[in-house]
Amino acid sequence: MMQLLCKTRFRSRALPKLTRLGAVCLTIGMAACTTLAQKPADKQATFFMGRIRYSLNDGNDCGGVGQDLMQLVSRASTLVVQEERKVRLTDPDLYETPFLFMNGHNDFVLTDEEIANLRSYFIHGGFFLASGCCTNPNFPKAWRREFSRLFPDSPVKAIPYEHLIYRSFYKLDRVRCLNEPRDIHLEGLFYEGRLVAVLCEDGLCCSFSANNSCNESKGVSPEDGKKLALNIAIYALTH
Amino acid sequence: MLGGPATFDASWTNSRLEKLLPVTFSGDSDSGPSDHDFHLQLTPAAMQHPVFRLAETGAVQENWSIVPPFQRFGRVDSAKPGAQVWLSHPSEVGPHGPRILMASQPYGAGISAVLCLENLWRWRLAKDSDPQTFDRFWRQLFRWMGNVGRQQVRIDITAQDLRPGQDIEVSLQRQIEPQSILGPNRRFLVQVENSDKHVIQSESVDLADSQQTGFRFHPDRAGSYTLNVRDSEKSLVAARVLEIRDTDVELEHTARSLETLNQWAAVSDGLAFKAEECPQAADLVAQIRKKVQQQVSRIQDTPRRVGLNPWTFTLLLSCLTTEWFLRKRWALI
Repeated sequence: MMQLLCKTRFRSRALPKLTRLGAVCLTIGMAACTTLAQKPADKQATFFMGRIRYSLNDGNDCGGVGQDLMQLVSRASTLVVQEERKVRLTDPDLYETPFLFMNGHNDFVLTDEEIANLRSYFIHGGFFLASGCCTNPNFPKAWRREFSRLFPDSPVKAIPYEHLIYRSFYKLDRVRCLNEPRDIHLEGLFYEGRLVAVLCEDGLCCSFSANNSCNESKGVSPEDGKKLALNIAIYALTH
Repeated sequence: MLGGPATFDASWTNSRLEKLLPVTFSGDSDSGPSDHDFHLQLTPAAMQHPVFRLAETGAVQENWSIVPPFQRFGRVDSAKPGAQVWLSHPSEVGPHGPRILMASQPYGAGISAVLCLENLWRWRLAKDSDPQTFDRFWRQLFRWMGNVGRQQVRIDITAQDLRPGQDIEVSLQRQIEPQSILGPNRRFLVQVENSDKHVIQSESVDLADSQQTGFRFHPDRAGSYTLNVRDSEKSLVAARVLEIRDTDVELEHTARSLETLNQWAAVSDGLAFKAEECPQAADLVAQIRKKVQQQVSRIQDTPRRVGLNPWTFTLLLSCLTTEWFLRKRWALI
């Protein structure tokens, strides 16, 4: 009887330990599996997109916008697309990510280190897409101000409709604004004549990602938004 | 052709594209990614070539050491005869030596090249790399590829059918270019090298401006032959690679279209064989003769059907005529 009790006690003590150990192993195993599952995909990918974390923004505005952009690209091509990675402008990973995406609602300021790193990134051939969320004017205003600091001789300017970016995949003669009687123009930053950064202030990310649910009847229409976003991505891939 | 494993896949094997490229495609392109990073390995030929000089100073190998590592590459099987390998994998070995990462070959009046590296943008984007070297490499490569077709002496092959054992007629024409570095000397040396890089013929020729001059050489066996034209300073001013084959083009890779050949053979009462499996000529002739004899005897043995000859037709016509006369006589008409 004592032996049985001892055994029972042993079991009752051992069981939680084993359970905990099992849980730990399971967690480690799952983490390892996740890493292993991601690693080959990353290695086989040919299109890498980084979502910028900047200032107080953690790169989560309009949550799935990065994934939606990736899906647009993967639907239109045979490219193996890597899942978006969150990067700060001071991260070394920046130089492993040829396409950066940034969006937001609010004003922001880039540090001198971020500006220097971004300048170097552009000189090395990187590409940057920014979108003001929900046609909020604070973000594009800050973007123009901060990005014009990068190359003082080359401020941010509107990209005319003659530019290849409007017809790199879909031919877009003009993009109409839904809530104002005007055409929507992308804005860009040029380095030595090469377009390195593009901004759309009219809720581009809301249109191609959320069907304008957060920006109803404003800015770019969802149909135009998808075409425009894909054009920008294809332009970045081919230049 | 640029790309990684998705580009250099087995689907190109035996295609027209493969014919013009300097490499043969690999059947095991699905062997998965290399798990480790690798640096590019320059071949001795690349070390000597101006395209691969990335800086004005320093050794070529040293210049290339700053190029960041890569992870994936397109697998090709081997370089073709006459092709030049420039870059190779430092550790991975294919069926014919180190895996080729870059190669080129003259094709027609131009040059074709492959660069089997995926995500080449890493080179330019890498934080420690100098974008100027990347741009310089591409500028030099395209300038070199573009200039190959504009050699100072044009080499044309007059014959379409190049076979071993026959004289090959070559036409040489000096190009007039304002920036030509050729001096007033009109004497040139034409050399023919075989696949083993041995000079089989060397001849001095006089090339006047824009006038065609003939040259002839005799390839004893099949293979790749290189015609080099050198000026009086022994500097190479033009080159062209010729592929002399000992099989007829239409008999190449017959296995691929044997189905069609069989159909043609069936229609024309002929025989179809793979070139590789073709028996001795005497056996082949015997088979054809036997087949012809069988056909002749079959025709002779075939019984003629009654009614399908002029006599039957005449008899039938006579019967009908007699019937008509009798009917008329007996007033039945």
